Amino acid sequence: MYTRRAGILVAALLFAVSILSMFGRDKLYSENENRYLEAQPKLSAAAVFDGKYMENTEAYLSDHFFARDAMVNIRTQLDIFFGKKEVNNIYIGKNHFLFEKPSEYSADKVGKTLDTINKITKSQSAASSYFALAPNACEILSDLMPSNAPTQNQPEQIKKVYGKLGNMKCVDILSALQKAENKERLYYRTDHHWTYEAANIAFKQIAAQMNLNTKSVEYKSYCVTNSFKGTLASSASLFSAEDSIYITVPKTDVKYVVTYVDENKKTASVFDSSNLKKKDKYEVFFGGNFSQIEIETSAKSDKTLLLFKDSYANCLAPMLIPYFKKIIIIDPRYYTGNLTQTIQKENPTDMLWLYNVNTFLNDTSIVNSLG
Amino acid sequence: MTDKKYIWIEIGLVVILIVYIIFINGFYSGGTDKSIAEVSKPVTATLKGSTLSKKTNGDAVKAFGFELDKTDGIMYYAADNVMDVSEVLIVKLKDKTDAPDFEEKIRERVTNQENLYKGYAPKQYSLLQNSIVASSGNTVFYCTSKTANAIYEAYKNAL
Amino acid sequence: MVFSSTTFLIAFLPVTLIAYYVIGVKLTKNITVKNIILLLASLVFYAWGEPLYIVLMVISILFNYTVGRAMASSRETGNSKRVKAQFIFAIVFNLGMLGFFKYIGFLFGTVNSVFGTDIQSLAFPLPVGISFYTFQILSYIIDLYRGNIEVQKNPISFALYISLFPQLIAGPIVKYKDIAKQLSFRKENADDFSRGITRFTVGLAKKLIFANTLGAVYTIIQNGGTKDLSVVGAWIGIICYTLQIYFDFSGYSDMAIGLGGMFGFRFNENFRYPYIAASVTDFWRRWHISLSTWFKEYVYIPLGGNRRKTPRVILNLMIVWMLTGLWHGAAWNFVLWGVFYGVLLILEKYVLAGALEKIPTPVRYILTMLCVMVGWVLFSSPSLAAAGEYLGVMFGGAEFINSQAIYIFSANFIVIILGAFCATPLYRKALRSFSIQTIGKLKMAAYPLLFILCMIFMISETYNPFLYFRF
Repeated sequence: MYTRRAGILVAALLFAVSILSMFGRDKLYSENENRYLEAQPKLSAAAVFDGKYMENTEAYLSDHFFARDAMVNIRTQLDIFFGKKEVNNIYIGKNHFLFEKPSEYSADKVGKTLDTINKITKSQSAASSYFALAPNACEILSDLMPSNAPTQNQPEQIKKVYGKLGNMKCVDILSALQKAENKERLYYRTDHHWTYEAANIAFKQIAAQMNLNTKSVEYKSYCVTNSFKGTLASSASLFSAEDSIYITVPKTDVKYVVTYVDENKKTASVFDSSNLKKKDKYEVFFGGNFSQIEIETSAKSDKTLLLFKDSYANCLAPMLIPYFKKIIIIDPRYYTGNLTQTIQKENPTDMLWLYNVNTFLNDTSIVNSLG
Repeated sequence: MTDKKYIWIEIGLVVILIVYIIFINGFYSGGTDKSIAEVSKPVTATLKGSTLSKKTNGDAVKAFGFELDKTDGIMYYAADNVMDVSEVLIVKLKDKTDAPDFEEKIRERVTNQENLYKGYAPKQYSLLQNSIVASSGNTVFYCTSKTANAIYEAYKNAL
Repeated sequence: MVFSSTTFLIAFLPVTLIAYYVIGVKLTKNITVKNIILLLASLVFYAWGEPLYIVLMVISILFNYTVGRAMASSRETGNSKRVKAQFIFAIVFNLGMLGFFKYIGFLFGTVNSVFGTDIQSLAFPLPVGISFYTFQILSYIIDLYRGNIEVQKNPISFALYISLFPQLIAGPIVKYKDIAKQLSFRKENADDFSRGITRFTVGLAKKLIFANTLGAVYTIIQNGGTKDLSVVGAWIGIICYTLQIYFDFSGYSDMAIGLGGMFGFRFNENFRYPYIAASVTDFWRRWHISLSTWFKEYVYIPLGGNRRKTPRVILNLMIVWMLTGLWHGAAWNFVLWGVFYGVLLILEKYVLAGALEKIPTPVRYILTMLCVMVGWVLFSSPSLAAAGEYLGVMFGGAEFINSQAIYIFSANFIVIILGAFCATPLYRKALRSFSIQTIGKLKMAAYPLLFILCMIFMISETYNPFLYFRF
């Protein structure tokens, strides 16, 4: 008797889920999962015979399943409750910290990148070249990582990279960050970037190497948001923590104009506050990543800086404004121009490479940029 | 039914089976004898009015790291806007055993692109996740696009 | 199509149930209508996963139906030569088709490595379920030839027997004689249906909650290779695989039996808690029962079984076990796995029989499980060399424990322990202390909750593609 009732209940659930899933079947985008949902597939002979129609139908039915968002979230919570320490290649650490899985060192990949960088340094041998690698949270906050989680030796990796660079001054950001007082303030909990505090410390190291006269410049920091939920939180769909973003502004009379070269846009600020209303608030710095940005300043300097970067430098670049007449910021991942020509045209007096270890080990886009 | 008639039915079915196996062999080994231009036509027709523009073989080599001398024709369309990851690629190979290598290179590029756009542009990341990479004998197809399925259909029909 | 997919659960199954019960059971009350509905559903089910190979199955059904009619007709006219000819033709056809699609690559590969040649073989993807439906067809042909069954004159019934979707893809292997009557007469009722759907839910849970999760752990360990593998890590890995394959396979059998029950069919059990076996012989009476009984009935006994002198019996056993290994896959590690069991069974039968009785039962459990797990290493490794390496680590060829092992265990210990518990009938003992009413009420709560949990696991799998990504 009880089995009969249990059976009928299960059957009822089966039919209920089937019917309820028919509602909301036209939803296009999932906020929860940060992706487009599969649309209803079109029936065609070709699609049936190679199985694509069936594959897409399964994805379509799955994506529009009744209470999908709730189910996905329950699963993540269940997994974590039962001991899982990572979601979607993101480690769940202590104190609500999320960590990006660190990259492996591939001699092949890195070799190619370093060759190109050395070539560029040589091509502009009159300029002073600097290289700065920033460690990631998984290294500085390694005691907050889940215990025994597979990780990488970033100090080793930095050492290896620095060892292969020629004619450059390498900046030691790692030690400076390791010595910082409150390490938890150096990185965001929910995002893979570093905070203004870490960028400040790194800037001091870079300025020392570049012999910039920082004594005459005062910096002020402002909090622009307290509700930042970054890329890691979105990828893992874990929204228990929020971060604050501070911007650091040099207090000087130096005025500047920012030009976005490919987009043909000019603005008066390195900060784009409209991005604070969007999901990825880190884009407040420069509005995100662009192929080439030029900052022309009224600073009393005749130095031109060519800055190669990934997104870590976005919050640090504003601090460099008082010291250079012109700063050209290039992100090789998006850069499609002819780098050799650009370098010749701009003739920088200083060249700085600023990357975080994880991105640098993976990104070979500079190799193809020479044109 | 007499006993003899049964045997004829059975033989007939075996013949149908053998013919069918030969027929699907063509399906599974895939590939085409058409030139890249012929195969490209119906595919580029679906791209009219989109944000993609034709790129050179050199652009394809830059993006994917191909060995040009293993190819017998490339069709590559990509977006001009950096924040648009849409692209369509068809490669005709000289030797179909190179197909897995080319697929591997394409998948590497997709992964690199995914890593670039992951945090910043979820919609682009999503398009990359739904990209199609498929080889059929001596041709390799790759497409990242909102209408990837339709473009794939056009390509399959063109073979 | 696959049972643990959204398409099956919320589209195929509800529609088929409604069509079967409304049209077949309520409106027409006609067995032929019911069978036609199930046959159409089964063909759609198979074609969904194999849009091209459905034709093969249909041709095979037509061919074997014809052979059956031919054999019966020749038998009536007393033409025993024709009967034998038809029988041989059918065996050649069915084994030929199976051999062509499953083993031809293996054959060429072996010839190439033995003779150093480089002949390119035809490469066809394996038609899903061909090992299962071929063996079902053979059970019909052989039993018909032996005179154990009546010919099936109704083409719908015959086609339904071969293609019935509950057991088409992953078994159990249903012998024709076990199901013949049910093809012509079924009486559906609420109790059978409920037993069926609850059984189906259990199978679904075994697959989604245990098999997939444990399989992911094993995959991580296997992908890491043996260089970072510790002894403890290797054992965790193989324990996970041992549990995964049990839950996967017995889960599918549960779902098959459950689905059969939902449409009025009764299938035999295929698994009987294999991991509490007290000997390897006992293990094979509990694991994939339909396969071992098939081989016993259609290969071992025709070869003479154990009614011969010992050397011949040993040969018979080795042949059967090599074929059993080969049935599981077209590669030498599967054959080795079969031979491994053949040797152990022969040892137990002739050498160890007396000794085993003297060993206390708990030790027997452990020894048996050790053999089984070593067997799974052979079964799951991509090559013989890899199997050897893995076994080497398991038995002391690496550091005892490392951070990889600790990390994986701490992330998964609950599902491993729970899985080990659920693989035994211990929960029955735990329930014995409750009254029937309490157990009944637990059932009414547990099965629906389990079903919901299955939905959660099924949906969230598509959200975690990294589990299936090969590094």
